[in-house]
Amino acid sequence: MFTVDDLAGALREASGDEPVDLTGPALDTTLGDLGYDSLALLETSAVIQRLYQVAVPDEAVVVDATPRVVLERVRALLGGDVPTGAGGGAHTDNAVVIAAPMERVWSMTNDVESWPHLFDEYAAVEVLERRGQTVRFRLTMHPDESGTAWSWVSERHADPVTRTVRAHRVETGPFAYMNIRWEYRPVDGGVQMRWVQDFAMKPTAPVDDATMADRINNNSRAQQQRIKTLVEAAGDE
Amino acid sequence: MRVTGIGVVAPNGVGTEEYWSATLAGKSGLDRLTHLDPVRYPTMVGGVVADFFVSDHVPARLAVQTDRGTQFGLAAAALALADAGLDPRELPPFALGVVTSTASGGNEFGQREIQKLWADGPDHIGVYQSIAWFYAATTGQVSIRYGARGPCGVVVSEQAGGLDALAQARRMLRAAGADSAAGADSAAGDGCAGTRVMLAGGTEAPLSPYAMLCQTSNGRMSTSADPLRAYLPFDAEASGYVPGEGGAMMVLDRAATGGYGEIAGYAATFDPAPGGHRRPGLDRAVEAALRDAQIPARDIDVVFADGAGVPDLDWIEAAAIARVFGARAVPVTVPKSMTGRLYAGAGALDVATALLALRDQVVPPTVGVTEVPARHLIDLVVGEPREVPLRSALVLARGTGGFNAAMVLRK
Repeated sequence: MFTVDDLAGALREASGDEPVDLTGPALDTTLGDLGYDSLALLETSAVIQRLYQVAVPDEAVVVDATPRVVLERVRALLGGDVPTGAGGGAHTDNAVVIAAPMERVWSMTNDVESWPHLFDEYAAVEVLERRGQTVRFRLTMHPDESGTAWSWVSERHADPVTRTVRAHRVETGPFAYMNIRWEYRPVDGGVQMRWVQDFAMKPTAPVDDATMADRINNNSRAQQQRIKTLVEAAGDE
Repeated sequence: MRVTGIGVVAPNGVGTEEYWSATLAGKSGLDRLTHLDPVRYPTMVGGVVADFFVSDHVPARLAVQTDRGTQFGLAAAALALADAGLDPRELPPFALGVVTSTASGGNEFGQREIQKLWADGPDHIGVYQSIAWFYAATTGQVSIRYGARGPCGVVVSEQAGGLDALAQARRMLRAAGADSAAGADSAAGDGCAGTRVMLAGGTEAPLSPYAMLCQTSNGRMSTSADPLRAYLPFDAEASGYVPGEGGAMMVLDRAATGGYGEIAGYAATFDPAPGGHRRPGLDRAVEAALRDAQIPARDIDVVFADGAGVPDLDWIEAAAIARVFGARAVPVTVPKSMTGRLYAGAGALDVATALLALRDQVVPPTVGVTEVPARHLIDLVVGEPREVPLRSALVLARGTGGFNAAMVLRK
């Protein structure tokens, strides 16, 4: 876990400064107002990159970001922010390379309103609330073979700086919890879009963790292939 | 164009008065260089600013992003402002400008980062390399520190640079004077109308292994291991120069009437291509500087010589002085015999020294020299300071590659 002390240490090393206290009001004061210039923050970013072996985008540690925002970004980049259930739970990890520019992959796949088209499993989406980069929305699936149309509320936080998304189910339904992390990474041939899901089923759920993991793996691969085709085709228009 | 503040960082003294009293006492700052492998680097002696503690002069956030040469510049600028009693925050935003000179840029910083590149890879180069190595770093950092938004610039002309930077500052203040006389909206103006004060000078930190290697190739450095005999400008046993670090910054104020003195004249020339029959350009620079100052040669009371310490170059300079002033007609001195040659720092430090000489009516000595050969037709002030009435001084500086500069100072 990248802590506030780790960030303070990186700022200190990069700026040559005395130790800095980032707790209290400083946590929500912009780095610019804390007296760091853009060059010092670029070096801070490089220090974090070297010490924690993580690629930090140039836009992540900037003068108008607060220590709290930077902490969230670095944690998202390190992938250490996904809580796992106490009793183990299940984990899925699926990725696809989309031959399209980052900006198009990012904007198309984060356009939640378009999901009933982008995915073939969703019948409807209803945006309930937007706050900055966070959106709360209700997803409704097509009815399954038993005629049940599953529906739940999710919350999604998309950070274009780190190109990561964190999402979780607010109404968990049959899940004890469901956390999802999306990562977008430039690779040879396009952008790798990766979905990492951590969840556990309630004891009362009709299926167990392993069965749900199989179902999610199969469905993720199918949906990712569909999204790949749609996003790549969008460039030909 | 009066100099109202002086800041000195020199091997024989940090702080203007510390340097000046050491200089009058003939106290040399030259010593054995201990940081270089004597087997691989033929230069054994240099002028190190041993008493410079960065944290005494430069805030931590600036220290981490600056080379030693820039840290000298920041320190000297702060000392000069304090000496002038000037608080830049009290000036209008465009009233203050900065011009500095360096001959080698942030070479020590650059060497450290290049070593990281080859040892650990490109990810390990710090971002400050992008600004710290650069010739403009000192001007940039000084202007940022003091919010100096007036005209700023950098001059690179090897050892002539210190004089050339001060001259450029004077030029900008003159333009400011012309602009305000013509009105700020004058189409003929240079946009300097609001400028009243310039911080100008030069500093150098040329003793890193990388920088020493670059200088070694010129073949003019002394290989003597004796700090008292390694650098003997105009001496019969002159065998090259020794490098030194440091320099000086000055406050030039076009509205001031007091202060140390004024920059009354200046000129720069360039030597003809080597191998031809034309004379070097030093005496032309002296004559043009005198014309600029509108004073005859006989009114110059002391000459601060470039003092290369290389027999041929000493002869050229002594001949130029004798040609303009007459044989042994004016006292000549080389206080840099106590500091080594500071490259861009040298001209600025010599101007500071000359202004202090005008203030105290005393010519500081050249040290170490015991025998000036008869072929040098100059009156070298050797060993002890000489008290004489001083109204005007001439400072000379020459840079490798053919640069000559001459500056006339008047009390």
